[in-house]
Amino acid sequence: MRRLGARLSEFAANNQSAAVVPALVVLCIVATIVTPTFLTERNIENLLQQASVLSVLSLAMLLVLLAGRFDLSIESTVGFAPMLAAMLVVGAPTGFGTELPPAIGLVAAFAVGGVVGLFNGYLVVKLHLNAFITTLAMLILLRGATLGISSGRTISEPPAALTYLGGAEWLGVPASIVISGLLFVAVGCFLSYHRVGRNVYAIGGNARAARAAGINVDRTILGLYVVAGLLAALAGLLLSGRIDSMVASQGQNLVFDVFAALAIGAVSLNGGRGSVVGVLVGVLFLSVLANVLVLTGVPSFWVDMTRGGIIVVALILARYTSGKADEEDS
Amino acid sequence: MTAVETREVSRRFGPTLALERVSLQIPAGETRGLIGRNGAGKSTLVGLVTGLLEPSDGTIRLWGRPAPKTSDRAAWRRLVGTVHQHSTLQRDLSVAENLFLGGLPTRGSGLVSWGEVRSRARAVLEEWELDVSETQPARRLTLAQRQLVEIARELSRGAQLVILDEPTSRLASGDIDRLYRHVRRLRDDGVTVIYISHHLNEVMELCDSVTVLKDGRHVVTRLVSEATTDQLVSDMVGDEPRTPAAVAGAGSRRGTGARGTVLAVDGLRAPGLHRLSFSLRPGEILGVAGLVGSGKEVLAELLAGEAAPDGGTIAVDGRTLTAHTVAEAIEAGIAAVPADRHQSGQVPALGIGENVTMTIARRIAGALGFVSPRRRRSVAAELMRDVGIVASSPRQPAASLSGGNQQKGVVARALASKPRVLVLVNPTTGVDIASKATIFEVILRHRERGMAVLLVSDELEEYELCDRVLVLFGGRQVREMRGSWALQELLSAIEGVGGKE
Repeated sequence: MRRLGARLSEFAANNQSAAVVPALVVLCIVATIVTPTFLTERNIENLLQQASVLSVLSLAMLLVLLAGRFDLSIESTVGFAPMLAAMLVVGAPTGFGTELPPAIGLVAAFAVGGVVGLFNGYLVVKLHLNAFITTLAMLILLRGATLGISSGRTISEPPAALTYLGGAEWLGVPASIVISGLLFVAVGCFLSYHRVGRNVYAIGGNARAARAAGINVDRTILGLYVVAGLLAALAGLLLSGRIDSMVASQGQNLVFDVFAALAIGAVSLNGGRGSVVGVLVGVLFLSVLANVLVLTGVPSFWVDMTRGGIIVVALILARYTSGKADEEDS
Repeated sequence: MTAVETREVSRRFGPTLALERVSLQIPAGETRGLIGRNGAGKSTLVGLVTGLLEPSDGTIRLWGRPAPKTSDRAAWRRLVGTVHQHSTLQRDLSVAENLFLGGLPTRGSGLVSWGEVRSRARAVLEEWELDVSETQPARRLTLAQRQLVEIARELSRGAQLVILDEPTSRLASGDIDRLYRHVRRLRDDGVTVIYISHHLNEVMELCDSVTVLKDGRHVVTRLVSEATTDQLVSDMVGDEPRTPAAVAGAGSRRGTGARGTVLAVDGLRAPGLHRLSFSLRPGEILGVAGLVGSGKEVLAELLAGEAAPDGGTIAVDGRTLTAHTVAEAIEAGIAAVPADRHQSGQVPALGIGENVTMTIARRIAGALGFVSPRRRRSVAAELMRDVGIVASSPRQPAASLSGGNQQKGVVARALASKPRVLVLVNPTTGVDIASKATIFEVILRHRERGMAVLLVSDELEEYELCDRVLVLFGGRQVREMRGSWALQELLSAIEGVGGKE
């Protein structure tokens, strides 16, 4: 028992992400007491399914952020990739009229994510453009492209292949929950145990030292942008599958939730510090919060204010319970 | 009248005593040279007499009155003009604004009078024969122009004490002459000047008197008219070569006698380096000495693979490097301890174990590139034991270790790849005595198994470990020291005085 206690406290000391766990637990307890529907199988399943999009997107951002860069454009890829895929497959007048096989559409969705990531990476690594501004421009560009190709219309009867990942159930569990769960494990293993994963921390912690140790910093960052783009495309397909349609505004403002999740999970915005555990805690916190606000019937006009207020409180609590600053000076 | 007087002034930084009971008097109107090797306490003294540092002990008086408090920047700026070693110009502000920063001429209402700023700036630039527009941003100036603007700013403010901290390090000879003319004119106007330089000939030419510091203590102050460079060199070196290097490697100045060539450098060219050729035998320790900018730092970078040369070749065991990347250098058998561990030696937030194995992640990785934590831990533990790192576990973040243990970590990171050639740049900067000794013991032990070492250092005594020392000046090899030589000889060669032309 004492060993367990010691291990727990060591874990807490090493993982600032654990600081917000008490707040998460309190939130769940309050939710259970206030609304009997919270702790039902259906509600939890629903909650986790909604969390899967944010999970995948937050993992994408985590990878780029750990290396000390940003990728804001992922939220637009969430809308653009499924929309483009659907337009290629669906017949005219809704689609382009190319009527490609659905499988090609699926490939196109991922390809577009990868290419956007590659382009972002090229601008940031080779042309040394500021990652924040560059990917912000890409966010606007892709958002506009989504609107442009769809003329703002919603594709309400998309081909089944494109909604499969987000809509299917595997062994009675929504596939999107399984997928995001597996991704947490995969990204976690990659970051903790893979050579390149460890390089990511080194690059974000001190890029010059990483370079001096023989790490190919540029190629690694380029690769991370591509992976982030691919994950964003996946998140888009999960979202389209859940709502069984492609909406022109799909993914809009998601990047704020992503940053909130990462901040709650103690991922440093300066690079080099953060973990999948933190992302998981942050995503769960936000998802439970959103769920509770709906269940308790907070008037919809006040939902965002309440959400923002609770996030700020959670961050302040985490600051005090961890006893360490999230962002150190210098 | 005495312009500057320090009485028994000491300054501590944590446990280290950077300046110990220094008493100086500089008469008004005198130009005083201040010399000493790195770490002698020059910068600390400059900080004290410019009001940037508070003395830990003792008092400073200016023109007979106690010096202002360090918080009273305005008073200090009125009294003292300082040209710092590193540029303090605001890169994105105009030359004119830079010249009057902190004291822009204003109208009665408090608004800046830009017309006056520009016309006064033009007057200063003309006086200094500086052919730059007062409206262009400072970042567009060449390094020399920036330095001159900075000098002009400090010298034209009307301060009665002017301190120049290595003002010529970025100037060409024509600009240096211009600087000399202005300094002499200041002296004629009765201004007191403190002139810090690594170049003895500058001090001899410009100053009335010269103060030598060594290990934070005032060694001697001589009139330039009565001093010789040889004398000053021996003042700077002293006569007790009791150094950690000498302790660790007692009687080590001997080759291991192995034959063959492990490193061959041929006609290496890069900005700041002109066709350098030399070779290294297994187990040999070669020193490369010179002033800042002599090319020694560039050479270290090229060997480590951090930069590609413009021409010439580097070959390890007969294999010529082609890609000129760090990864290639490590693969070929060259590892480096970089000059500044905070800048490029370690990732502070990561565990020390991860830091020391960073160079060999590829070698210890298993299938698909995954590294087993147990394997990393055992490799790291062995490396840490080898260099004597004291840490609670390999997981302890590098940043939380003492300076000495951090530096041992940087050495371990280099040794991890089992290099044929180890490039060391200032391997013991900011390291306590005991760790210094350990670091050299480790290096000598690895040399016994045939590893060659190339040492670049600001600590002259460390060159006593070397079998040979190449002295660079202006990017060229000017001297090679073999066999037995004295530190004075080496310092003279580095300073470019005496020795061969």
